[in-house]
Amino acid sequence: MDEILRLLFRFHTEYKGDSRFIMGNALRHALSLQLDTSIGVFTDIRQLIPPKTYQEFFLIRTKKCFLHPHFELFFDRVQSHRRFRSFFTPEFVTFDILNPPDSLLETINSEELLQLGGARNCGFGAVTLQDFAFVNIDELELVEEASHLTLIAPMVHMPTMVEKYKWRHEDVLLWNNGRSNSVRAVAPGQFFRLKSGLKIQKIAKEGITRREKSHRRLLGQFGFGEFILNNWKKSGS
Amino acid sequence: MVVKLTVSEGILRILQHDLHKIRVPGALAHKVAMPNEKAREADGVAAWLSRNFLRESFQEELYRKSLIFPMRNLKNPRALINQHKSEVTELFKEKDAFKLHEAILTSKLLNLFSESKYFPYTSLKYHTLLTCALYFNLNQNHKLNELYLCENIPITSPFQIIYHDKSRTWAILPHNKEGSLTRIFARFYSSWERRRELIFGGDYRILAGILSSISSWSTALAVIEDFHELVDLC
Repeated sequence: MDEILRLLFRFHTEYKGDSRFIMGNALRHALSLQLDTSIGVFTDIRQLIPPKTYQEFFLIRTKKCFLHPHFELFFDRVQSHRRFRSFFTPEFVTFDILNPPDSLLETINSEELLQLGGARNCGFGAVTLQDFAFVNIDELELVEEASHLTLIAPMVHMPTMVEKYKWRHEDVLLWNNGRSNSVRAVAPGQFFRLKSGLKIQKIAKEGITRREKSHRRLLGQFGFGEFILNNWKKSGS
Repeated sequence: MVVKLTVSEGILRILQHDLHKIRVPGALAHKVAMPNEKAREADGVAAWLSRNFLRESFQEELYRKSLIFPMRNLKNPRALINQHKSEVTELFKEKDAFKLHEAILTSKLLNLFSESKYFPYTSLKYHTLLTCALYFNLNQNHKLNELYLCENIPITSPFQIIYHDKSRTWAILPHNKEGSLTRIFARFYSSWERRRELIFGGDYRILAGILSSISSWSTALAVIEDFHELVDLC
């Protein structure tokens, strides 16, 4: 039985980093726990409603939320010329944690300071828990027909069940205790056509539980490899 | 009586169609500004592509709000409005469609105005260029779902260009498998996330991230122009 704990964090200070998502690694480091977590998706929804269907499950994760950027110019003394830096002011971020440990909510509530993103020494990215919801994947109504697969998180190896054509790679940054390192992955947001004769429900479940197996499934635990199935008509948009 | 217009005359009317939004004296009203049905369709589609992002309540200001430079979002003084109005009138005295299109493409002045007062982040400059490019393609009987955004590709007519800077020229072209960047979707981020190549790398990672959550086409193009201005400041 697979259970998902969906967490909604509220930001109290500004956030520095990627404006599209927060890598799951950030939450693992903030809590010092080896969680199996998805990427953090920014949202402006204030309350979580336990989803009943597949579409409802991905509603909060596919809805776009615009983060207002703030730029400032400063003088870089090392390179001795003017540069700019930026931060964002998000409101909420949501993570999905697969098979959470029993004491996770207590750990989060007992944590004095929880920070996500970059420039944490300067106080950026402080969050508190706003809401949570438990989702049982086995009770979720999964889709039965699908034509396409859309990536929500980056993915390192494209699965064999999709038709392969030219796609775009991107270097995704992973923060690792102060050192930053990057992984070359297929960029999120792209869609691929599914081959015919597949067990759609099984694939739909794999999209939620993240089938990314590279680096001994470590990247899957960081949130890589999440996808949603779409059923689009053949005639096109 | 139906008066047949040549392509460049039609384009000229389209480039001038939104002058009433800047309240230039003698500008045509919205209902009569468009030469024909296809032009009205192109204008409608261009407005649909850009009026889908950060709607705000009724505002009387003409000027565009910038996402990159929030300090510019203050109310501008009346003297500045009059100066800009006369400069716009000067710009639109040009009666050659090719030269006017070129002038609009390189103009920083038109980018100061917003396309709709309900959507203060949209840009009048890019709305005009989008309308023009869509009209040109619709006039050649290409449907909307056959159109692609292409970067630095030889074009048949300059009227297809929607964005131009030092290193790149973006144009809306009909189906072109080789080298097309992305398809034209109703929301900019859908097109942007499905682009085939990484266009902005390095320092521009921030810009690419911002663009992947903007749904309005004219806002996104204006953000790219603003961002280049920010980089030039450094």
